[in-house]
Amino acid sequence: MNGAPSENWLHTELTVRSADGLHARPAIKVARLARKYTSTMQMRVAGDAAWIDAKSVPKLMAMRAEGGKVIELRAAGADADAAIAALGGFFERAFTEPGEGAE
Amino acid sequence: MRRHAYAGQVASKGAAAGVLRRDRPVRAAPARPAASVVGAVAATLQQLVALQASSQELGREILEFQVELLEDDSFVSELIVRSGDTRDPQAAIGEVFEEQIELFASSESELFAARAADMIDLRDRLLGCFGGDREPEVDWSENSVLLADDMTPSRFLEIDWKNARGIALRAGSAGSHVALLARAQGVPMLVRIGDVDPSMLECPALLDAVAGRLIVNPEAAELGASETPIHTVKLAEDVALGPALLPDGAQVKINLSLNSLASLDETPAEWFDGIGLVRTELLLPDPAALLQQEVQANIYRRLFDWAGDRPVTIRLIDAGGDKAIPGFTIPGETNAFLGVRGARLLARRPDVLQTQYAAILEAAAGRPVRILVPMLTLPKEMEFFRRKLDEVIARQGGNAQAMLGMLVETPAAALEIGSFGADFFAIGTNDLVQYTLAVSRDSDALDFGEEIAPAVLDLIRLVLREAERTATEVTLCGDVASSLVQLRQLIDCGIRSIAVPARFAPRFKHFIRHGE
Repeated sequence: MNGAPSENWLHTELTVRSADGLHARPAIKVARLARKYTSTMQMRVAGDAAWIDAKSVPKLMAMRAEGGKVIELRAAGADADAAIAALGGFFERAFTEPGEGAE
Repeated sequence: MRRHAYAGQVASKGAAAGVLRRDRPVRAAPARPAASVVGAVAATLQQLVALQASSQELGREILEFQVELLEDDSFVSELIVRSGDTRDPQAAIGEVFEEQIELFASSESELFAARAADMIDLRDRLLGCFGGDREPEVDWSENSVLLADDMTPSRFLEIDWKNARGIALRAGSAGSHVALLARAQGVPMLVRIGDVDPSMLECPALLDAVAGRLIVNPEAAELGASETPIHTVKLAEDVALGPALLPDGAQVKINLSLNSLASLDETPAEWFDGIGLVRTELLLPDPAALLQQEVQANIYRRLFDWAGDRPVTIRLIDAGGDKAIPGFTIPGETNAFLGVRGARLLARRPDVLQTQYAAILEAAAGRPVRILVPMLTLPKEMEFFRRKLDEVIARQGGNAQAMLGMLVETPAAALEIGSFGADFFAIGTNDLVQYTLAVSRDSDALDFGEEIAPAVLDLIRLVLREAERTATEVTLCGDVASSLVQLRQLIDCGIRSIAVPARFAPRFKHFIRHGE
């Protein structure tokens, strides 16, 4: 779905820590956060075959990442490290901004 | 004019009276029908942004998902591509949406399933922008109760809720966006009322979104002075707010006793001084969850989120007796209530105990939490639970704010209350009554009347005396706290904190303040 060569992907695994899962509001937040980076970012529920664009709200929603699921994230591009760190932190905090109470 | 009553699920509490009118679907008319998919997307976006501008924050947030969809390149290009090579672009658009709607609707998570309604909302508005037949706006000249199969969030936001008083939906869900909006704006709403005969339309109706009924052609008495007339519904909501103060100014804390997470969403946290009892064994989705820290932590996190700054008391798994959990409780005991249950069962399964401790502490994430051990008889049992808790805290980094309390359910625990070293006390009257009077709670073998038996009251006084001596908090939980006669006895004997199911809060607060 994009031209980034596979050997350049940075990989990580994330857990959906919010009981409600990656529903509409967190999906919007994830996509907006991902769009701050120029790198290509893709996600899938661990075990799924297809990767989806982490910058697309409908694709994130269609992934149906319910609470407790493990998500694979990969990024390729100049700021891939920073992008993975940012999204990783956002998942760790159960989709809350730093300092904000859990949703 | 025959009276008809339809039962439904309360999605937004309140009551409303008005003429029953069928709502029309969303089909907001653009000034000029759109000629292309791109034009329709642009017109829809314009409408949504205008609706957002005239809505409160919640409405704006809810419409954001639809705006995001229309601003998403991959989604819009799919609409364009799929409608480009067909004679019927509107049908092609419908298909693209249908695939997404099915995907969401098939989810087991209510929050995901509810997004299907947003997709339907967006589809209808988008297709409406192509022009075509349009149903007229509802006649708002009289107060009305709106009837619909489902209602979309953008339709809700279009309606002027001065004359529209309430919503009754054939399907729908209490977890939907429109239900959130209705609760935020105080519009009474019932969902899942099923099919309503079309002949009921244009008849007077009473929407009782407290008891969960839509009554068509209600009797005069129901509209004026029945059990849930509009003014008492309002009163009930008001009464439940603020502290419950006795005439002498002393506060009786009213805490929530919780059996299910679903009811949490419908319960206003403002009614309560905290969560006093959580029957965690009823919240787990399946027995496997006994050993799944993540699953449990996700559940407990909801409790903290709901409670905000209020104290949260979580009871450890209380299985055994009449509550069997396959693979956990011990089958075939001759007298399960006197066998391996509560603390005795957890002590034999330290893996289950450690998982639950770890999940509670993970969910608390440094916030204070009060953990309650059920069904204790000997002080050395409490020592074991304390040691295990300290171990888990140490393993998680040692910065937890956890208090360990004892649930007094046996006469032995009440008599030796001072020897347990508990951080706080709770009295579980259901078991205390049956163990003191040696009669099972579902038996009528012994008629001990409506009042709390003196022997049970004596044991409660023992606990209160020790609580006073050591400045320890004590909360009372159980069925005896759900009768006004018994509540009076408990207050007289010195109880100043109880845990009750949500529905009792308004009545109890009124009783505590006014003694009637």
